[in-house]
Amino acid sequence: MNDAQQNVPDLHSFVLQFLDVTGLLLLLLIIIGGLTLLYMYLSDITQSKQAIRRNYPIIGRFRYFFEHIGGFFRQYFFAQDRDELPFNRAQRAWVYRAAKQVDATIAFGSTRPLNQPGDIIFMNGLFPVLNEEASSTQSVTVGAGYAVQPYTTDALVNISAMSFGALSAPAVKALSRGANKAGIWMNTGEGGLSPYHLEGGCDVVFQIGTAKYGVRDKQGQLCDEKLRAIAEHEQVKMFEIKLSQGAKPGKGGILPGAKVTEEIATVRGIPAGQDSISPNGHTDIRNIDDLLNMICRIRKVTGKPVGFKAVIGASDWLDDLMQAVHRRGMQDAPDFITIDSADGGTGAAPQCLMDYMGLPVKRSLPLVVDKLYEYGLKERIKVNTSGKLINPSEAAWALSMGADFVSSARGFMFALGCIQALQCNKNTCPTGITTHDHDLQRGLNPEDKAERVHHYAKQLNDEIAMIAHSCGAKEPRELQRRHAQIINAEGLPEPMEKHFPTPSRREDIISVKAVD
Amino acid sequence: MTIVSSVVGQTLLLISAAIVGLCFSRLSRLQPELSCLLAGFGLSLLIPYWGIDSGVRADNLQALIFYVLLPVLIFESCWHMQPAQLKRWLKMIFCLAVPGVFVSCMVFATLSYVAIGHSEGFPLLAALMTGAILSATDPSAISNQLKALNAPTDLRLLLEGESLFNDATTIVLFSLLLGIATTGAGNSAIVLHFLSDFFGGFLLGAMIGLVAAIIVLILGQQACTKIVLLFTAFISYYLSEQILYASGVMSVMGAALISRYCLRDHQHFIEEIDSTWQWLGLLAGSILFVLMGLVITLDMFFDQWLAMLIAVAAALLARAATVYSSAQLSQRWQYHLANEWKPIMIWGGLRGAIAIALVLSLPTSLPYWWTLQSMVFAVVLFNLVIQGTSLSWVASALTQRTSD
Repeated sequence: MNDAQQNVPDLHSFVLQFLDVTGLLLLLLIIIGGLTLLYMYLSDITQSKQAIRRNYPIIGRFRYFFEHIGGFFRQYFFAQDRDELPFNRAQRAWVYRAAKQVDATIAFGSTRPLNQPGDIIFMNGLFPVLNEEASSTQSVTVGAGYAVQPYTTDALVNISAMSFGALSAPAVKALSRGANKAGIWMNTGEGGLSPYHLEGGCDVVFQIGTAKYGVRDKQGQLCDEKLRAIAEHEQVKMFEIKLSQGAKPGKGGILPGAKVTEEIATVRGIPAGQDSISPNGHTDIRNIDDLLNMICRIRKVTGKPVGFKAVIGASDWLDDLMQAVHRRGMQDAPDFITIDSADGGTGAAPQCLMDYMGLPVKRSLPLVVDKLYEYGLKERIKVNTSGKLINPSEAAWALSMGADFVSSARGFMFALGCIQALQCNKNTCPTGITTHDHDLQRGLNPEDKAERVHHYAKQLNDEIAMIAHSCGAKEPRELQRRHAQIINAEGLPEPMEKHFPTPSRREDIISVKAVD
Repeated sequence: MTIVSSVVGQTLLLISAAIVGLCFSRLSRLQPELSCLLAGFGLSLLIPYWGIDSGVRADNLQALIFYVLLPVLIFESCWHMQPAQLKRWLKMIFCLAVPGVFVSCMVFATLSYVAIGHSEGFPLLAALMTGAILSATDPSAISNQLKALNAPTDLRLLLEGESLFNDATTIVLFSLLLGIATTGAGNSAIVLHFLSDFFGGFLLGAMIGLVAAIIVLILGQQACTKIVLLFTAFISYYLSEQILYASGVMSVMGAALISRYCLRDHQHFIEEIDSTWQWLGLLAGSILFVLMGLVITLDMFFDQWLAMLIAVAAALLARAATVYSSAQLSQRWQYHLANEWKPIMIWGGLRGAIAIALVLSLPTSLPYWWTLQSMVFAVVLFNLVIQGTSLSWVASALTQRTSD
């Protein structure tokens, strides 16, 4: 016996025991590990589903593992500032900095290549508008003279449609409060009007989806009484009929049954716990006249401006629509049109529709605006546009092309803290924005995020104004096509007017066809 | 007479009673469980005339039930669980099967202890043991009715998953209480003991399950798969109880779940195994009901009628407490238990083979075993005869009320 054993026998025996137990545990772990490897080997060589695993047992599994973690590595370590999609780090970083109110300047030149065909460059004037000459943003009135309660606002960039159900309750709360502070409107999306939309006090645009959630009767048809009840809210300013959305033109929304909680079901007017599936189109809107009839009906019931939202693909219907407006009279026109870009996309959608269906807003916005000019309807029908317009330059381009309003969904999601984890369809959003998991929602504080939404919207407006002033326009709505150039195939900027000349009113197509 | 021939003879006697019971069920349209019970009861009346020994004694009964029948029943129910479906309701099932079992046990023990009010003949420990035994549910007797009712798949899944996991908690809890009752061990180490039993057994079972999957893959034949898995069911129980002194039931569960998981990509090896477990499960369940019939006597109803009535009422209340408390608890995870499901879950929470197995394994050296056994039998009988037959009526009454 040595000294240590004599002096502290308890400690000595404890240490011995501890070593024994850890040794046993280690042995157990090694045995389990060995058995697992043996099982994996046998399992791989006997299965017949995956050739890689069959030919390269065990190590073949790394392929699937690396494929999974590769996404995270690429985003954090290897992606360049400008090479991520849908939004690259430069675009997102601008939103994050604006939302957090940190320094928004960059140094040592632009990382944006200035020779990419199709990109936009603004034309600065020799004498920019001085601060004291600048005027505040001109307000626009939607439905003036035709709706009982027209809507007047000076908001430029607003919150685009995202339903309560797709978004979590705290996310809706934060957006609502932030929108109120920034003086912009918030679109409810097709999931009905929840108390969270109203509690922030912002202006609300109520969207009527194909399933008419929130305003449907038991058979799923539009119910005038419920519509009237929605319209009685002072905050609800306009109504928007959703014909299609950017992420999935020609397909309805799907909310899995597990996400349809009691609360969401009540707001939508459907049974809880069952899949909430919207039809891919309105069953009661099958042609242009149906559409105009529906717009008139909703405007009559609610007394508020009514428009519709669509992704532009085939464009013959635009002529039909505008001729129908001339035939039926201005009172039957939609008060606004929301043009959604094909690359819009907060919703869960099949890849074929997400990637290949519909025109991007770069093409569809000039198309619609030009038609409105040709038919002389630009004053009557306001244009709202959306689709990846999250930075001031993109929004300023849309305004210069003739849009009256710009909407963004994902820009405001970034302001809420979205990290582009691409899991909106899975109820596992790590930032709590698109999940109903209370543990994940805990990270999203509505008060703090409302401030960020506010700052983002304000910074966006300020910088759009900055672009306008540089171009010599006194305020953002004075931006014209001549203020921008578009880079051609050789990488040289060419005047926008050359590609998209502003058309004038064409009496020939209005009067001739109207007589037919 | 050697030991072998007497064991074989007794086994054949039990199986023949089970077959008679199943035939009777086919002819009379009674539930198979009830028919087997009646067959067992009939056998117990005939035995004295024939002068043969049924071999049913508390000591060998306990060994038979634990080492032969339980592994089959547990392995069978684990094997049928679909991991993907289970995952969706896992937390809800956990609420029902772990805290739910404790709630049920406590509520039953308190109610019955207070109502009987005879602390010498029926001490608190006995009340707790009864509560534990009666927490194990078994929806197999009502699964056909649920199908006929077009009950949602989720509801059936919930009842089956609950039954699977509360069997384990119940058996471990019961073994623990029984240990205290027979050896008088102190209360201080109960929790630790419970945990080491629970997880030690599961870990051993998981390892055995892994080895079983390896052997199945090496052998690579359907017939061999059946041998290996049947062997796995028995050996995992035996090794855990005899060598590790941990819970054999948890070990069987671990073995079944892990081997099922490991073999999920190898359907061609395990395609026909379901039918094997089906008949084995049916046989084990039927034998348990025959055994119950054998030990039931008419004296029981005359001697213990008050305790039995109290047990029936307390068991219903305990079940209601489990369902409502678990529904409350699981709201934390956004589970939504539809209101019309709750009465079906309460009324359909039948006690079956496991409850019988546990109560038959009680050593007769405990002074209160007779009271305890009659109480459990009363609840099982009430479940089978009243609740099991009226479930469709209750459910349709409910659906009518909600649709109005």
